[in-house]
Amino acid sequence: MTGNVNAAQASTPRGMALMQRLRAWRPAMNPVLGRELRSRMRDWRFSLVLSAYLIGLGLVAFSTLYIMTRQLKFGGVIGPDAGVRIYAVLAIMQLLLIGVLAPSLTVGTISGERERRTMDLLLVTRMSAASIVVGKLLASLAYTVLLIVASMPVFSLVFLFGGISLKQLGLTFIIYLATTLTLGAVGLLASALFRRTAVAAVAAYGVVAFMFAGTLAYLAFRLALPGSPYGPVPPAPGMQPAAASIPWLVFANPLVAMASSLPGYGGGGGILSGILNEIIFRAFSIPGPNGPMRPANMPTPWVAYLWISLGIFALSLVFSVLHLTPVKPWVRWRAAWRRRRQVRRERALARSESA
Amino acid sequence: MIEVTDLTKRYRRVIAVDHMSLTVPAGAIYGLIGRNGAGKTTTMRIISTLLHPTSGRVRVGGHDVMVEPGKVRRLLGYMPDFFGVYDDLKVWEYLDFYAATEGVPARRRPGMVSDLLELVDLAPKREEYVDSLSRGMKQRLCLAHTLVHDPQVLILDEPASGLDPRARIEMRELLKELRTMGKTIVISSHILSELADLCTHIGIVEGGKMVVSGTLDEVLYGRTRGRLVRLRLAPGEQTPEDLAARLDHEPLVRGAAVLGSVVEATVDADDAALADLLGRLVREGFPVASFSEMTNTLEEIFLQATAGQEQPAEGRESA
Repeated sequence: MTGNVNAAQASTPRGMALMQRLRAWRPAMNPVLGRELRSRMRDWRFSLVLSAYLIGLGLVAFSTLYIMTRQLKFGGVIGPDAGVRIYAVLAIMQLLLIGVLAPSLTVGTISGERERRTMDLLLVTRMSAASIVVGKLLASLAYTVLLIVASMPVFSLVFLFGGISLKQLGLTFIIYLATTLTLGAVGLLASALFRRTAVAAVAAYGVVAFMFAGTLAYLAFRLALPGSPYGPVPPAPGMQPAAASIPWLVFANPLVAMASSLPGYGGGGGILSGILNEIIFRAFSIPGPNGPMRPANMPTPWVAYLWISLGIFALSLVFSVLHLTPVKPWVRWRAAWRRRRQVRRERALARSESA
Repeated sequence: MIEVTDLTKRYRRVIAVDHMSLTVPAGAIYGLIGRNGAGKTTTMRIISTLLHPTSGRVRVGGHDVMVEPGKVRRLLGYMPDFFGVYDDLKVWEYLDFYAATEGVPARRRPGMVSDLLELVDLAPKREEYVDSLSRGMKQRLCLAHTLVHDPQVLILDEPASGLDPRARIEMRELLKELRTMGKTIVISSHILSELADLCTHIGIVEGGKMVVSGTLDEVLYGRTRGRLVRLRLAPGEQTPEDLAARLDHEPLVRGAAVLGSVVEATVDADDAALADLLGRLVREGFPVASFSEMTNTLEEIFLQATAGQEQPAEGRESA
């Protein structure tokens, strides 16, 4: 069937042939990734999303600058930390935007293939469920990375003031990457578990809302318990504090992780990150002899966050793949084991007959 | 090429496929007939490794679908009864994508896509969006996509459903072309005359069970019950009434009736017994001018095979 490849190529005009050759040089790419990218970039909504994203981020940068200049009029100063403050606000806003966008990029992919009735066609190909899932995840990652790169000019505003190191930029990017992948994987899992995209979206955003806001609500609950240094009942001497352990759930909050990675961590900082730092400080404080203090064994929040998100990411991926695989591995193993047992029995039978 | 042994698929309460067995030799075109919910789609999905059987064994090219699904997938192309397309892809991109999923190197894809589009007669539509194609074209494109890895086996679930007569004829021509390419094909269809035209083997499924199966000749002529034979005598002293009376004495004959100059008899006999009957009639001096079997069309056979069976339990055809 593919015998006359050359004939087909020769019959096309020279420009086309060159294009085809260029296309052929393209390194082997995950086909699902390739198709997703092609569709996404072809979609007119992409330019809309990109514009809205940049306008949103630009507005945030503008408002921050505006507040700072207004403060000048009333005796404020633009101190050496101005760059850091703008950076903190932008970094946290961008994280919120990623929280909104990342799940939406994957939540419709698997349920969408089911709704469109293309999943079966894909599953009978040589591609494994794992590579289908990975392709979809990488496509969403590429999309987000493109947005982050496109937002660079807004961020460059910070460099008017200075104070942000390349290392800091790298750390922020790593947190973005981890958040994108984790939320993307959560979206994929929801998409695999639920047949309808709408239901999957509700489930995925439920998880996102829990990570961003639910963990803080949990923190409020902890802080109100007697024994908490900030609760209505301050710890009395000799009282066993009920909330003296580290509230691990709060480490799953991407905002907390981001705030803890910014230069102002531990005190001061920008407007938004100031609030967050206060939250972090309260969250992870235990009663000490001289007032609230940090427990000695507490990990840095962003490090803990990277580990937690890695865990969520891995579990989501594994369950998505398992749910997508038509014949589950354990069913296969059991079948293979039965066949082997059957063969052994037949052999034993043949031996006893010949003996 | 395909061996299905004692296959059973049970959902919580319904049995979709009930101890079904079938064998499809290499190069055969196996037509699966049955009403909706009879278990055709379930069987095809199990063969295509998209469902796992409750019990029984299915092998494709010697590979067990449960133990080595990857090897089976390489051997077969599957076209579901209902399928969608990626509407934002062009026709060539659609085939290129599936070729990539089958691991066809990028170097070979452009030529192959051209060849396949030529085969299914869609070459002029190469640069158009898949969404703009008509239903028949989409069906042909889907058929083309099953061929990207040059599989030996094709599993085609209702490839001609919902097509207008012209598109249906085009689809049939295409399937005949695939037959000449030596593919082993399992095809299900509602349009029985189409299958009789195309298939080498037929299996009639009812309520998850295989009711009738065999080569087309076996199914059409190999039956030993209820064969309808029409006899005509040359003018002479024996009248058709005499012949009918004579046939009524024959134990193999269920009934004989005179229709003008013709006698129609329903005979429970195989080919040999039929030949023997004719010989005896001639020896007894009946001037038989014509002795012919009214070949039952596939429709009649299908109706006979599935008659008297209660409506099958709700099958989950597209689970």
